[in-house]
Amino acid sequence: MKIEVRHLTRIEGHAHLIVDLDAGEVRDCRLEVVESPRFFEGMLVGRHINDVAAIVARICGVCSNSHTLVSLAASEAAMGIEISNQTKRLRRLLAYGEILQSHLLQLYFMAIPDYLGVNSILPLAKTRRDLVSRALRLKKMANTLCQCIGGRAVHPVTLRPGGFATLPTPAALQAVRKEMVAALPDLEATVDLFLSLPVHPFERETEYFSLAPESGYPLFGEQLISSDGVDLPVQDFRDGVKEYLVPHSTAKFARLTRNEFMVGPLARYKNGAARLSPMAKQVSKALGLTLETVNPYHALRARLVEVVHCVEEAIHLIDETLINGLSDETPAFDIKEGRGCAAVEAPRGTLFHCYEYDESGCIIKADCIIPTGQNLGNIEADLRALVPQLLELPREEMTLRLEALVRAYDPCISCSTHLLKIDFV
Amino acid sequence: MESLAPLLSEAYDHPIWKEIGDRCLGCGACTLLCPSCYCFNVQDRLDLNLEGGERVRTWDSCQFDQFTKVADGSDFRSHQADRQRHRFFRKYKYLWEKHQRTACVGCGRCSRECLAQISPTEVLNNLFATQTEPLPETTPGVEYQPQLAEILAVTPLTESETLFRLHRQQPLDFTPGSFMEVSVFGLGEAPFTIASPPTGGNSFELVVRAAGNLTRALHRLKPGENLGVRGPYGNGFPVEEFTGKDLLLVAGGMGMITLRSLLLTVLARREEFGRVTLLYGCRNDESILFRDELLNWHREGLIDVRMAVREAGGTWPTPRGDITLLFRDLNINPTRGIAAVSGPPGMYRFTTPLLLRLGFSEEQLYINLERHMKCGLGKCGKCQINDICVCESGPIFPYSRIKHLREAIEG
Amino acid sequence: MKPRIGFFDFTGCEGCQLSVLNLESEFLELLELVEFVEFREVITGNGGALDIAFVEGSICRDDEVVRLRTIRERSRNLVALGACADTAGVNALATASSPEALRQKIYGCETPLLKTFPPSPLSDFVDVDARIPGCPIDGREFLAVLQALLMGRPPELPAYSLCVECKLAELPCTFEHGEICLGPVTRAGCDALCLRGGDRCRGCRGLIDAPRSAPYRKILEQNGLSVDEILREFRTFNVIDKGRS
Repeated sequence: MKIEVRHLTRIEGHAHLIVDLDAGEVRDCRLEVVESPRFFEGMLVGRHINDVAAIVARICGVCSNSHTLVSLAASEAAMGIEISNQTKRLRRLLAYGEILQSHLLQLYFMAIPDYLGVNSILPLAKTRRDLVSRALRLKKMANTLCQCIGGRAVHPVTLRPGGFATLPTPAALQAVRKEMVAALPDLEATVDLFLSLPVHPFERETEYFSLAPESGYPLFGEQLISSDGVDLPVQDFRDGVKEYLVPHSTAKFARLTRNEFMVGPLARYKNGAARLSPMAKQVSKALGLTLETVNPYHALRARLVEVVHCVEEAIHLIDETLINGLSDETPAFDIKEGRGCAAVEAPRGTLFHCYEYDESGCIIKADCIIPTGQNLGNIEADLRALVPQLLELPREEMTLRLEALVRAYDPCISCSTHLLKIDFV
Repeated sequence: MESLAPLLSEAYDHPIWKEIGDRCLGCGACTLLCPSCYCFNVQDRLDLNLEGGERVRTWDSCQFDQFTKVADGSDFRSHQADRQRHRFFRKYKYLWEKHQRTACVGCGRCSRECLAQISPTEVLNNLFATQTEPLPETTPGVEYQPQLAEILAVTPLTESETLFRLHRQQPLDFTPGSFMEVSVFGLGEAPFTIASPPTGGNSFELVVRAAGNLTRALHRLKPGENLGVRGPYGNGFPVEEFTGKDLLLVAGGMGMITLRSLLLTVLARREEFGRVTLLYGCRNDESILFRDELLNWHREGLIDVRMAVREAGGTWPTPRGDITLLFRDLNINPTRGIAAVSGPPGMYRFTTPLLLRLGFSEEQLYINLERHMKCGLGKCGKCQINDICVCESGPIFPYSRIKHLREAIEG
Repeated sequence: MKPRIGFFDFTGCEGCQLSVLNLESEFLELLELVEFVEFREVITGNGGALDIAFVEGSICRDDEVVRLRTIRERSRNLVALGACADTAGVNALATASSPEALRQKIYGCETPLLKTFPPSPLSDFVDVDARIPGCPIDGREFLAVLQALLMGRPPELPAYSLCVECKLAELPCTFEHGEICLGPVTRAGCDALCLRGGDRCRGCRGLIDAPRSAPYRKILEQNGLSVDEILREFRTFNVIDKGRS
């Protein structure tokens, strides 16, 4: 039997899922990333520090804010630029907004249809209007936050090396805060919804990798950790994360201690659950999520826990920002040569950018490692382990299970500096 | 400002438009920042369900590519040079002619924000430099230097007013209503309206009323002596536009001097004009100017002269009353008429409504708005009425052009 | 029957489709107006004949050309959605060096999926009925173009430059604080969003129909830019300038 899902839907980017079974033996099982390669690292060469963030944002529409944030951090590290506490607060707010945008889109628009027996959320506009309206309201709340800080929901415009070109107004922040507080009942309803959806049984332990929860739940930071004991400064990440190419993919795969590892909400949860916000901890408990889980389908629930965490933290952070007041800071810095690496926890996992600048402030060498690339090996390993357990299921059901597994990772193939695809053969 | 419209009307084909057109980015910043630019487009914005919507005005600009494009693809101002020229013409000529107001407030926003550094001040100055007559000499201040004029004849008209006939080296070219700056060394200079018609010759006449130091000094001069003159300055009656029409001249006091220039011009080619009626009001019999001359023309049937004086007890049986008296029993066909009014501003307050009520349109009514035109060059500001200088754009104006000027007649 | 629309993507970041999904306030109403029959990012399934196909992304591989032509065949209208589809956008930066060199540099080896040609706009391969420029697109402009097509009239894009919207927003000229701005030659329609955000215009909406290149270049030179730097400016989003209208 051969299962081929060509152009897997409800993920960002182009991939085929191919599984080839011969009398119950898995002969082949791969996620083929067929998105055209985009060569961003090459395109960056020769570009000035002031242009870099705007270009790398275009790696991915869904996580453009993360790319912008990590890019600025890497450039700032390269030139030794210090940023103010105000800038740190605002960037953190944007990072929360980014995770909310992406997670809510994934949960409602990409994942839920698998469990409600529909091909997309759109037909539900008639039958489950409450659900669709809630999805849109929550998504809007996330976009409003990003827009307020970054000037636009996709590809932000207000950020620049050293700080911000334009600050949000206190009134706008207050409006966002109001929208977020008003979203709390919607979040409760979302938790209830997910409690009503089954979690497919499957277990496969792997290596869980994220930024260390030094100063809170993993988001920004200087240190990387893994469940296998990796403890690595971000600037040396290349010593730990090794990328490699496979013939069926235009995305680069990566390995750490083992042949594959996991990044993203579940990995962060396992490494940093202790630092979740109080409300998120409650939700995690309600959803039955534990540190012991090794079920990749649980990533959905981890994602929801992170949504609650980000909303709660963002509300507090807005308060802190308003109490401290916003003052105009003109980002000024000296152009010099240097090398800098930075990482942020993007919605799908740890995102690395590393730049080398010449003395005129132009890039000599750029290196970007995208979360989905790091997950690809793990997704394939999961598929190989899962397929034999599903042989009893009708083909259609089995396909759906496998697709749902891939979607649980929320692969983002648009981030195709390095890319991915799935075929079931 | 008022000199710009005539300046531009000569500059349609000037190379400067191409020069700035080539520099211009067509971004429209100049017009969008202009406080007086208002061109707009009208668009329909539909509701999402395509069932309703609104019609809205949106900003537009004569600098945009689409502005003059029509459906078949023709573009009536296809080059940026055409659009820049249009911008200047509209600001300084078309709207001036339409509303007697410039569409430029002089704020400088357009120049400040123009990336191509196109500045109206520079463009207009450049046009002035290349288009105005070169000055006879380049010495700074030469325009203030008087020329000598010889007194040919001195004729007392009344107790205080005297007619001077003068001659200067350079011939004079002017329209009735223009004026000369006359000076006596050491005593100063003042404007005097020209009392004689334009003949293209070297002689001209002025009426001087002895009132101050300068005029009393002028009265002491005798034929053969010299005085200083500059000019002629100003714009008078557009006589060519009056041909074929009936003329109603209304004079009050010394306002007659200006109208005498017009009358003599008309009489020199009497057959080209229709009926000519003169209404002339004075304080008393003694102050009537050119009385004999006027009565002779009346008797010869050249013109119809009616006079009134406010004070009784004069030498002649002139009707008593103010000038409005003369408007009774007037048999005038205003549709083919022109009214030319010259007198003290107080008189206009009464005559203007009367003339309008008679049926004269605002364009048919010409008014003499003499002020103290000290320099005659549009510079000193003494003759300014609101936003215009009388010496440059007057002293003769169609009423339509000055009716909005609060300082022209009121107060 | 409601008009059937589909969304498709090639090489790009999917930010334009996301911008459509981000029309939260209008989304339910939009569902009343048209039927979304294909949208890989959020719908499983294939849609058959379409009234309007919105296509995001650039074309840079042979298999993409084939897929694009199939979409064209079954769509009454085909719209280039966003800069990548319209002008190859930021992808075209890859053209600056040869695909081989970039491939070698980034991937260090050759595989068949990596066989690409320089990223190209849709119009290099199929007829494009309308286009929505921008990186990403502006949701309001998407709605306006959709409405126009549904009303059966050709959608119109602003023909004037971004300076117009910048001035109407009463923003000071970017050149004034010593930064280079592509506003004077870039098509308006974004309501000067980047400038409002304190950034300069990087030209993501492409050039206006008749950019005044000569005077603009002179201004850039006056601002101290060398030819290389000017080219670099244009090469963020405008590597491919076809002078299209």
